[in-house]
Amino acid sequence: MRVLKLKLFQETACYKKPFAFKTWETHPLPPYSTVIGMLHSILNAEEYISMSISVQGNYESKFTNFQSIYFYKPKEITKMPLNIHLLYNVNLIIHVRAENEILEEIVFGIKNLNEHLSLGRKEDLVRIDEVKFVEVKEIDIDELDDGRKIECPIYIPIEQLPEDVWGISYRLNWKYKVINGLRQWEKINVKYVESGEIISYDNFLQDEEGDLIYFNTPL
Amino acid sequence: MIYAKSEPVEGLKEHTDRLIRNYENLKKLYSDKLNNEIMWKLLLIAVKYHDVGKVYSPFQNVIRKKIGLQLLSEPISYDIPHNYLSPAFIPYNKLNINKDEMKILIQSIGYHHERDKEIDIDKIKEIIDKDLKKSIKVLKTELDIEIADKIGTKYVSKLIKRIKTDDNFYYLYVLVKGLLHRIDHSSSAHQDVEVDRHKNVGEYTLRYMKSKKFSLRDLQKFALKNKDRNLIIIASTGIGKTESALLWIDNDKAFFTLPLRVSINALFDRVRKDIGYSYVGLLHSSSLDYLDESGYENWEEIYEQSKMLSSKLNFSTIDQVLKFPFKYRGYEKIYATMAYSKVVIDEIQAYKPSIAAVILKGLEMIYKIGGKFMIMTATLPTIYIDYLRNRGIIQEKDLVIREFLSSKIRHKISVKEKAIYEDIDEIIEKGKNSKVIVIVNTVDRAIEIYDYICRRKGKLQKIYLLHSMFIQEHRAKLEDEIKDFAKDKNLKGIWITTQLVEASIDVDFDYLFTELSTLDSLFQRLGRCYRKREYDMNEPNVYIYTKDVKGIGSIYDKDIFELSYKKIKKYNMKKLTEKDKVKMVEELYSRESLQSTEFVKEFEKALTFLDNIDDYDINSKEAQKILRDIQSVTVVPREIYDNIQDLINQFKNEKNRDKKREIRRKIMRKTVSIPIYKAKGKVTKVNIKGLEYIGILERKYEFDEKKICGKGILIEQELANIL
Repeated sequence: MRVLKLKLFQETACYKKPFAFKTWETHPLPPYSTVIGMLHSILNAEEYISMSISVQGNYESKFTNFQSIYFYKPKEITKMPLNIHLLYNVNLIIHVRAENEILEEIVFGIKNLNEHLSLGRKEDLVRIDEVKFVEVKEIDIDELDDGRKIECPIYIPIEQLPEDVWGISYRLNWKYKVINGLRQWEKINVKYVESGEIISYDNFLQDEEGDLIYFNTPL
Repeated sequence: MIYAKSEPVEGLKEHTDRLIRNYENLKKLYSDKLNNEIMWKLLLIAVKYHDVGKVYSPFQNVIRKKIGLQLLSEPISYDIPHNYLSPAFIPYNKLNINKDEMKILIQSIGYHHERDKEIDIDKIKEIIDKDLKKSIKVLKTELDIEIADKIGTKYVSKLIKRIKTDDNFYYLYVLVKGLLHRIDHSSSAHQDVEVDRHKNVGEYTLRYMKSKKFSLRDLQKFALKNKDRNLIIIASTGIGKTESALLWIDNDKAFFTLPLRVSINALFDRVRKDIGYSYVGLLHSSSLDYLDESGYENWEEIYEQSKMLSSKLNFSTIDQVLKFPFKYRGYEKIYATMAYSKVVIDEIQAYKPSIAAVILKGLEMIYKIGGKFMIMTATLPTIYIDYLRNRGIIQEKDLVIREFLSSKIRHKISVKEKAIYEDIDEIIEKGKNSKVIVIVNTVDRAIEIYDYICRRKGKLQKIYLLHSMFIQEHRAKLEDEIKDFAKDKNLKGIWITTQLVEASIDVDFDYLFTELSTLDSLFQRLGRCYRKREYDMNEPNVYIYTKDVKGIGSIYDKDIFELSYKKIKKYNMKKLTEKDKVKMVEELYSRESLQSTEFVKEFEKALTFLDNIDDYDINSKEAQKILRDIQSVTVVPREIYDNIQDLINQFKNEKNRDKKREIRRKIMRKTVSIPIYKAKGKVTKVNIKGLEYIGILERKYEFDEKKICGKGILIEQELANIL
């Protein structure tokens, strides 16, 4: 199987958690909806295009910024200072699986961008370090005497979570439908699994460069 | 050769075979009670592989060094316990077990020694790659078990997160791990894991009763008929409770618990000598002493067996068997044994509410793992029954509460509105022509009364004092003396004691003078007077003093004391029936009456603590300490210590381990346990290796060995509040 692999870098990022109003807390990695949103903007898509993605990455540290935020009130726009949690020096690896045509369009789109890309807040710019096609294969766990150590923090949908692997639960936005003018999100339950955990009893997907892959939707 | 033990030297194969034989033994004897195929399957695998990790070169070298063999080269020398390495060698894919069973197996083996050492997977990987892989070949030739061809660290992921109470295969895990502990410990001591399976204590008891021409009483018939059920029996003293329990135990393995060591010793003797059932073990902290002193020839064997829990019938204090609710590291050993055992709890009312909470929690756990229990008691606080009911342990079909009350009237009481020391003359008068027992609430009060009486005794034949502040040796003498005194019809005199005698010592006096305590304790004291006789006088035989009473608020709960006083007052100059007593205690300990008292608070606090205990948080010693609840120190009074210098020197110079142990036991006979707060500032340390835990108490001690009489330790005014 051939998929598209993107390596991205952000100096700062805040992948805001829904309902974090008083303080803007951030997810440790961008939720699927955020990444999907960026890909759709690259594609200039008017409607949802079917694809699955795998998200992993790490960051150097976390800090907070005290910053003025603008709000809508019924009749006016107001502002007040809030604490924003920010990740610093974020490296991301995104795998995208879709119809070959779509993947080619994404590559084309990236090469011909009209505007800079961002993930999370508009001001958190994305630097694209690498775009390439990679081969994916399934690894038979029985071939490995010591299992497979997870090197890079990754979202794993709970249905695919390997035995005895521990992670922090998140309920991530994936895609939405507009019902009565409101966005109704489809959610995916995942574990954010940090590096050091070991896959011992389950087969897994890996690309030709040795990076793990856990797609957000079934193959 | 791969070694497993150095003392005595034993090869890995030999040791493993020993375990396998003990496994077969256990399975043969108790698979009818533990009818669980997968458990036996996993246990056998655990037994076979538990020590394979000992092949690790640094471990082998520890033994080789001890026995003077050339050392092996160590490719790597990390200090990783063998039990963390053993699971690497198991050929999992050939065992036909599922993932949960695999986890049970890996953890049972991985934690068959409980250690604080963290599991470092990177070090384990290095050890496997550089050391263990090389020994696969030699393991295959030396052992009869199949060793995995390819080994790696995958199992470690199943080792790290420990199985706890809320896992759904928890009970299977407890059985496998606990029984592995049992089998390993007894095999290491070269003992059988279970003995005397077919010696039926019920049959012995029936035979004994027949020989004595005793017919079965109601209670005994009832116990016999309900052998397969959990029972709560409320019955007054002297109605054959012990025999009932033995008949109920029948042919099962059992643990018989009592609050006090003395009463356990007494019961142990009775079952062994009177009933003639010698398949009994004794489990309490000074049991070794007792067996030795009582002249049982094979004491060491009995002790070892008991220690390994292998005896068919074990007599025990609760701190030895019922500490598993604390879920300390290694608790599975006793808990798993409970799955095929019966447990008898005698005199549950004698425990403080916090201890009762531990017991009830323990019974709940026993119920859940498949064991059976019987509670025998004179009185049972309603809140305890409520607990069992609310937790679903009592169900109509498997638990019966029955009151067996004697209709015999044994007491007429007088409730005095004064302090006990105001009636010294009356006590002395009675003591001249009959047997009188005085029971007070504290040691200092006992000494006080003793002094008063000694000063005015006149023609009094005998006067004795018994409390807990005598060294072991003297206390044992006093306990024998009081029994002999009670038996001898011609002796008259006075014994002054504390609640020490409440449940423990089977004696019968003519008159009881006592300070009021709580009703349950009071009625126990009543049992020392007219124990089995019917009341036949006009004047009261029991005098209860209610003013200036010691120990209230410390030994006895203040609220419960006040309530007790209100209730007992109504019976002044009246005869007391068994029904009256049970009813009074029932009311006293009902939820309504106890509402917002310290008693209930303590009980509930303890329960909350036990319900929320995190598995493996505390170790066994700490659990035992909480259960004993008394922070005590072992001391030798200065005078005694100075007199045993020969013994101390012998101990210092003795090289032989067994002899040294024997001398230490002799020294222990000269000690007494006292609460830490009492000892503070009065104790000098003994700076001798092996005796560090003993202190010298810098206070006076008084005892006349010829007259078997004295005051014991004299801590002066500070003597209050010690039993």
